[in-house]
Amino acid sequence: MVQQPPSEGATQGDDETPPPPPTDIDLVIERFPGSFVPSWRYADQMPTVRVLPEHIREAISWLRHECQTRYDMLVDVGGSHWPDRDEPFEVTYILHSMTTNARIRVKCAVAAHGDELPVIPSIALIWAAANWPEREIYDMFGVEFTDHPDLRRILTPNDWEGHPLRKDFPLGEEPVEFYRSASAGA
Amino acid sequence: MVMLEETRTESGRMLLNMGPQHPSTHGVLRLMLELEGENVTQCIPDMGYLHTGIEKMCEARNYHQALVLTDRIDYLAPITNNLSYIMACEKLFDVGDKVPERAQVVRVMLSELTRIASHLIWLGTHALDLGAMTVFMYCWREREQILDIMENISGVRMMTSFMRIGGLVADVPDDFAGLVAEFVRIMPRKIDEYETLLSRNPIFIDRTRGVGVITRDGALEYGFSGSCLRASGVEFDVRVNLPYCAYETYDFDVAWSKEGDVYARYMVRMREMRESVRIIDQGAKRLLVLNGAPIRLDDPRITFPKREKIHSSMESLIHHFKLVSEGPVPLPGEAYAAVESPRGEQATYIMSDGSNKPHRVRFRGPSFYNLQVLQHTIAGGLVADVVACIGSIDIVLGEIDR
Repeated sequence: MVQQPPSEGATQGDDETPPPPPTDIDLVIERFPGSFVPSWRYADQMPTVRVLPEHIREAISWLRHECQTRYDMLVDVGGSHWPDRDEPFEVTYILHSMTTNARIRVKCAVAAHGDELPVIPSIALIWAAANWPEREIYDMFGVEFTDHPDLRRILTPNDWEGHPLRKDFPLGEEPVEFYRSASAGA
Repeated sequence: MVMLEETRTESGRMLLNMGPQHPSTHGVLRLMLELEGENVTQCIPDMGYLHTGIEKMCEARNYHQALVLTDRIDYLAPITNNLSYIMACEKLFDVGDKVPERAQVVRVMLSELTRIASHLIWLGTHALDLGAMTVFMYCWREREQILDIMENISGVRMMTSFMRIGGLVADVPDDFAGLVAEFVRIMPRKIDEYETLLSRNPIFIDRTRGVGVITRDGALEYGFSGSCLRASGVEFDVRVNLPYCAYETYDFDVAWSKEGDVYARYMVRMREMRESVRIIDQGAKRLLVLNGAPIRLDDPRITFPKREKIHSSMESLIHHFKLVSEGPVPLPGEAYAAVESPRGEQATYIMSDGSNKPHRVRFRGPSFYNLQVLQHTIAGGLVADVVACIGSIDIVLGEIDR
């Protein structure tokens, strides 16, 4: 569960075969300092990179307009809450390229300070598809998106208290036996 | 949710609530319209009336139990929801490529039957919104036939929950092939019948041609998928571009159109129904060859032991008990799986922390993204076009609100 920066890339200097062309992940890591591939099991084999919140807007914009694989469709923007992590609020963007059918997953994680909401720059102004999903993440996880054109609750009523998909939000159900916690191991 | 305090703006424009109980909003969608005479000057969609917290509920259930919730997301196409959830689970358990072929064929056939059933509801209600009452009755007649097939295989008409991680809950009964063959035989002629009523109907054409136009760039800007995206000139279909369940081995065409208006979306869906019939026909032929083949993976981590074994062997009984009570436990990790639902790219994104319950389940509902564009399309149009636009986008509120 602990995310670590990746180890140094294993590149041998005196290799006969030419090095493979850099992937989009490599290019993102090169362009945007602080980006890395979180060590985590991606069971769907989708290339994944995590960028710093201050770079998310440029990174998405670069992938869409400048990167050679034009990622021209924003498939999904989703949030998740990992209370045990240093940066518990994670937003995941999935992009698709119509020309190559490649997909890329960009992640962005932030911490909340005290009672304040965690803050991530909004990409809704550069990509309208992100408007409602970002509102949903604001509603469900309490992540504030700066410069969002219309940041209101979307699924719960306006006077709703709390953010339902946070892990500390009660479910209102009886706990069930046989819960195997993550620390007990799989 | 915002309340309308006033009925008129300062400039004299009328403020009107459309929904959440309006029949033409296809569920509990509420639109706040600002009108100047018959013209819509502004539209603010408001949803959440059907929010049931399915994603949160999934976090409190094990991987087998959460399946039944997925039926209720897009309640017009339960099979495709099941499928995307099950595919995400299979990736998480690393068995995605080990699902038996017979199960894959049945999955494809059921997905396509669901697609036709869902398109029939769309066609019936969409035509009804535009004043064509007869089509509605015809569509319901054929949909009933599909629901009979669903009832025949699973005992339930709509919320079948027929998929399981690693395969299907049971094999299809013997008369499934006959029912499907009958359906495949009659359906193309029925589609002709609907088309005679609508495709060249001057009233229908007047109401749909050039209405609610969404350009190619607009469609990509707003994250469109499915028939709406294809009607705007983007040839993207998850079944072809990112194949799953061996869709690449079936022979079918992707229906698409350049116009991007309500009529184009109508034509794309009509053609899609014909292609679905073709796929079902091919699936039925494959099923004959695979008669008696396994329908479920045999993996003790995930799948239940056979019923006879439970009755005769203590270990199998314990195994069954553990799988029911605790459920299967994946390694930590995450998986995203997308299918082409009748409305577009329906996807499930599961994150696991290594416990027996998913840490986070996200459902990417295509309607949620498709509906975003509505407020921009109908602003500037007529009130009467609002229902045409909503109908053509084919939304399901269960999927938007989850």
